[in-house]
Amino acid sequence: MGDLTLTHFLTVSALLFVIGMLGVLTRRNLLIIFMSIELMLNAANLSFVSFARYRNLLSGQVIAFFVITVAAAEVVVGLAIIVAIFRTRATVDVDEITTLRG
Amino acid sequence: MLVRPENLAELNTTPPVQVGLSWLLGIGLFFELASVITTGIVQAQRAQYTPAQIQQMCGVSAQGQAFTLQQAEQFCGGNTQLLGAILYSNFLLPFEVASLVLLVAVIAAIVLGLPERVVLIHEGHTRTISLGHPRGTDLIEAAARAHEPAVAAPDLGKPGDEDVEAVPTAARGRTGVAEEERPPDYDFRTERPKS
Repeated sequence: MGDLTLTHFLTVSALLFVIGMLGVLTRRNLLIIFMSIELMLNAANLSFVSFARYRNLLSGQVIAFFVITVAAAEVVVGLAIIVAIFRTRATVDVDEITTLRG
Repeated sequence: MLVRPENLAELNTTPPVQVGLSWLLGIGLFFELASVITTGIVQAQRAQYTPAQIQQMCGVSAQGQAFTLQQAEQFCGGNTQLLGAILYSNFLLPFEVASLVLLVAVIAAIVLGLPERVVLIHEGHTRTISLGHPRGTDLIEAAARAHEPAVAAPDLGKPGDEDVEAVPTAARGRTGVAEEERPPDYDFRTERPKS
């Protein structure tokens, strides 16, 4: 067993991103889709931090902070939209929410 | 309430074509990423920190030529101190923009989460009632159950009971009484006619 290198971190990041993408593409519940989006954002965070660690820079860690901030804002607005949808339609199934379908 | 295994459509129905396609896409993307990660060669210079940079970052004079990030962190008192110093100097404008983004998000969540309201002008008084809360419908249903003992014991184990009950609640228009059933002297506080 060698040391943890950049490759290991990037592999975990790619795995997390693919799991999140599969969740967004295959699940139909809005809340689970939201969790999957969070998983993809955190995979990007892991990439940022591991590259910053590799290059001895601090900018990557700061960018990860900003990604976390934007993710928090997105979750706040998205959960409010989910609550509004559930109030009017009594469902969070994305297959039944077809109001915006052109 | 929102997530129940028996209500998840993807566990109970046959998956559509998109699910198989997305599994194919996901596995393909992972192998593509893995091949790039394992065979790609990262050619990047590792940053070195001079004493002047350390002096500028956290105001500590260090003796030496060049330092790694770990040594610079030791001079500045740790990773957290260095991150804070950089966040408030080099990234000050993005920091403020992030605070604005959070403020807008909080306001948007409050506006979206407000219950729907109608303002009634009733007997000279202005009242606001919330349409988001099914006021009184639970009492009406409880009274109906009390009059019929056979219906009084609901079987809680059967899934989908809430969906069956949700239909008449929605049809009653959330305030308990449908619009066309309201008499002209309908009292919204007691939810029955005043006569």
